[in-house]
Amino acid sequence: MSLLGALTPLGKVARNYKLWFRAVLAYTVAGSVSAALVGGALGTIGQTLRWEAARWVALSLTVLLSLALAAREWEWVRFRLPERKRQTESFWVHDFGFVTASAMWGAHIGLGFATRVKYGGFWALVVAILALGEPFYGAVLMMVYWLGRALPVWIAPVLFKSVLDVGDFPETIYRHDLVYRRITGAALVWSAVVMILLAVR
Amino acid sequence: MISASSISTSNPFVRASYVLLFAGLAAGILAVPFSLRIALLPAVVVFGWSQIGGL
Repeated sequence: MSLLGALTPLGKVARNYKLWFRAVLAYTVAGSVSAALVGGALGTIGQTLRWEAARWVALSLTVLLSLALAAREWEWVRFRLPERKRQTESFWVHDFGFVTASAMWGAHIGLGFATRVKYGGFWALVVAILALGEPFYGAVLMMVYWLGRALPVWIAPVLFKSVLDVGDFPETIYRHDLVYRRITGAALVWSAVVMILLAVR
Repeated sequence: MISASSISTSNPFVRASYVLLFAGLAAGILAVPFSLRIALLPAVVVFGWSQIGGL
């Protein structure tokens, strides 16, 4: 279920801006709550593992994982990511209406683990939160990840200049898979650099 | 990896993706002297954004 495909036509084609805004806001807020809860829980698990003396080992493993995932995104190596091969439920919109369904989609996708994970950034983030072992910062990191994930839904009506663009826009996005891999790889390298600095400080 | 030809596209999502990446990296580098925790955030935003390719 593409949330871009479900919500963008509301604002772009139907020109129902109020409904579009309420649906996207509900999606973003509900996802922020579930993402923060998951991030806080991961941070708490990391805290209970009590890395302390072995903290630099945990951070070093995070760096190695990030670099391995970057190599995967740049297609230098091939391996599968752990993921649930499912997406959120499209029928919710028929049962609950756009706004409630959007909140339910946000809460579901915001969990992170419950739906497909195509690129490696998510797993680097999970391991980084576990290694850092800080519940509040874990919640912030996972919520920021979610806000990055919700951002395309907010700006899609602006990026697609015409109603005609909206018609074929799932293909417009999917055929550029390589771009999303490249930028994820670059961000993974940057995250590895920051983790190295965190380990040596 | 990232070439000039791949950036010069008419696709608005592709252009927005590269703008986000380069602006994020710049912000992250600038944040390093102040806080490494803040410097990590732009990479995390990119991780989330890129999931549009996997919806």
